Amino acid sequence: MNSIQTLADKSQQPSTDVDANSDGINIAYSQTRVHTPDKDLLKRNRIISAFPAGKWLESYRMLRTRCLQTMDAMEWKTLAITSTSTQSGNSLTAANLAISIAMELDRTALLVDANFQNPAISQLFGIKAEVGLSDYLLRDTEISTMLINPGIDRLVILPTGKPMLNSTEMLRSPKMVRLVGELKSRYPSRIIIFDMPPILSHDDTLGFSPYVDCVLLVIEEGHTKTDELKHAAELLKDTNVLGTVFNKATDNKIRFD
Amino acid sequence: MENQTPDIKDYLKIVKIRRKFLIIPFIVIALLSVILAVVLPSVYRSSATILIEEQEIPSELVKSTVTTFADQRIQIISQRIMSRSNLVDIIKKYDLYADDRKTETEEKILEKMRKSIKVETISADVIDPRSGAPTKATIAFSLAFDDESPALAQRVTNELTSLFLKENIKSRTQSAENAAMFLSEEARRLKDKIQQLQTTLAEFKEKNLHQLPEANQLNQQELTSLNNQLLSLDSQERSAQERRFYLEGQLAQIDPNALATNAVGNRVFDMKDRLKELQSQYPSLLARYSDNHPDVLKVKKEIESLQKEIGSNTDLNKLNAELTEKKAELAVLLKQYSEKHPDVVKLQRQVSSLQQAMVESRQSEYANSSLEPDNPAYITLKSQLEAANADLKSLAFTREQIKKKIEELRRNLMQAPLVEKDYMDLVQELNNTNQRYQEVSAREMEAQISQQLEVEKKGERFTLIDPPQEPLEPVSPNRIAILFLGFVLAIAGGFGSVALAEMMDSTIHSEKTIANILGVAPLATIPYLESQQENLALKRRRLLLLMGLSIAGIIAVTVFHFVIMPLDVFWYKLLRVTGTL
Repeated sequence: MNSIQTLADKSQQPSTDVDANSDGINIAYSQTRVHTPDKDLLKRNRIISAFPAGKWLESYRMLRTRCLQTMDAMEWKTLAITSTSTQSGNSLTAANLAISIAMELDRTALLVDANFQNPAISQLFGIKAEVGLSDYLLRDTEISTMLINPGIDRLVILPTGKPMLNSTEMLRSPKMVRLVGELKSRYPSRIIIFDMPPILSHDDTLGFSPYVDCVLLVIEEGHTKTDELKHAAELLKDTNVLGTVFNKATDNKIRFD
Repeated sequence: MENQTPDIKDYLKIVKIRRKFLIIPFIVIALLSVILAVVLPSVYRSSATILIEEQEIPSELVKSTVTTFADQRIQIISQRIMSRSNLVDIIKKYDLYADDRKTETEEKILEKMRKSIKVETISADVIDPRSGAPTKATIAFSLAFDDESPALAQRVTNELTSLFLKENIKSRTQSAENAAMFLSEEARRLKDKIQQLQTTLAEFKEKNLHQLPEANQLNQQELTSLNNQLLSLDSQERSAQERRFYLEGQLAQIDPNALATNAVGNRVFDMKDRLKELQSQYPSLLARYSDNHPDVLKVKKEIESLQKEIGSNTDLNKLNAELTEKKAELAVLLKQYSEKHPDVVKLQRQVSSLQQAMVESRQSEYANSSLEPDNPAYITLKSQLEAANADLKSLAFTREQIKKKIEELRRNLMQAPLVEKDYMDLVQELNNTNQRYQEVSAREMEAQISQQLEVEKKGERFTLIDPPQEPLEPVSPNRIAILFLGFVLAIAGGFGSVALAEMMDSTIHSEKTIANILGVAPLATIPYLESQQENLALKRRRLLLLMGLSIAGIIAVTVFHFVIMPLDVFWYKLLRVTGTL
């Protein structure tokens, strides 16, 4: 399966060409850095690509399929993933959803780490990224130079880069809006996933939500409170909410070695 | 969304998540109940049953003076038995509550003992002989004492029972005695009163003997008869008076002195007549002759001797009449003649001599003596007159007497109503007192019989039918009940704490909650992926917990061993408890 994916990727790669437009956005894969992470690290970090097919994987696939069905029907391309509070498995859900989307042979996924408060995507994949989204927003660094392929076909990661103080303002800046639009329109079958900070503790998500097509809320069992959920639902009532993910369900715990 | 109410699976999940809240309280409570069930000291109860026997002699024949109900008496006696001094004596005698006495106050120990003593009455349905209605009657009662030692329980119960029986007899006898004593005292008092009243009445009667109502009729009869007597007296008096007048008339016509004649036919003068004659001759002799004339002397001598003989010279009346006559003659002569006329002088001499004679006769002692009448007719009439006079006198006296008597009777009759009132009052009081005395003495007799009844123990009495035994089985605590209750409480506590934890915890635990809040079920549920490290950490945590628990348990057991009771004892008790299960 891996070999087939690689083949497919290779066959697709040449078609993606360097394309610098007026905004100086270059999102061609040709320059994408490929980082092959350590399999043990992935496994420790619960990245699904490190696991054999199983029940746990299936639940992500279910999530993927349901998300894609709705998004396809509504012709949505961008998805912001948030939660009510930290430690809910927000970033992990984003990463695993992106991977499972990338598993579809006809789709590509872009995972954008927009959590400036607590960037976690790079850590999950074990990537050492010096530059990222903040560099593009502050210093107009080429997007193409920042993109990283974590050794998974049809998946590209955009890290956060350096920490920003005014992250909300930057996320709402025209530059960012333009970037989102550009990313959306570049490939018809590309899904862009933004990993966002918790909706209740930071206003980043709330501020940025109008610029994405839909929002996915991660709920953690035994951690998310009903009041928080009600509050979050209240805040997101004008936004397209794709749905919720019930994370870390203890009903059927799965152990791994 | 379609099934919003929680079902059994959700509850199971809640329990599973919060099993700590279930298990810890359960274990703690269950353990406590086990310890409680084993450690609680056994209490043994020894009890005695005392029958209340009715009096042997039917109550129609002999009435008891003890009239309180049996339950009431039992209550009274138990109050007496449970008095402070009694209980303190028993505690000292049997050395009860030896441990408690070192620390607790006497009041608390007494309270504890009172709680340990139980008096329960046993009733039966009976039919009231008087009203015929079914009622409850106390036929027996049980007396029990609880203690941790069975032998002690029996001994104390024994003591209490005998106290109870003794107290009953004592109180009954005392009560009967008191009644008898009171009644005899009352009888004595009434008797005294009666005596006093009788004395008063006697005095009263004596004082008002004739005014008494009983004497009224008699008085009236007597009054009537006296009146009759008075009437007859009047007629008698009249006739006596008539007789007297007649006799007086007769007497006036008869000379008291009948003229006696001697053999020659001359009138025989008695000495008195001779004296009278001489005395009448003497003044004319004096007028004619001088004093020394022999005739004068002779007459004078004769007069003197006669006077001596008779003892009286002359009749004064006669002298007086003669004097008056002479004075009248003198007055007539003085009209005709001068004082020198010899007749006048003669008369004057006669008058003066008469006067002299009167003076002399008055001076002489024998002036009054008169001559005895010697006319038999006169004497007869005279005596008849005297008899009539005496009759009259006696009649007058009798009349006076009768009048006095009548007066007295009238007074008595007038006063009778006043006396009657006081008399009746006295009599009434005496009667009342007598009646009361009779009643009281009848009762006194009854009370004495009743007292005898009590003395001979023939009245209602308490009979010990079931003497206290040494109990073999403890009466409390009910260890099985404690265990069962503890178990139930443990479960309830466990589930209660789970429910409480669930209520306090507002975090989301199921997709259903999300569906309830948002109206949409989650797109997907990602199970928890537990890594090996986490698994290991969990295991280590559990191990640590177990170790901690066992250390705590060992400490608890040690503390239990040294503070509460040695473990071997506990084990022995535990075996006994499980043996009873």
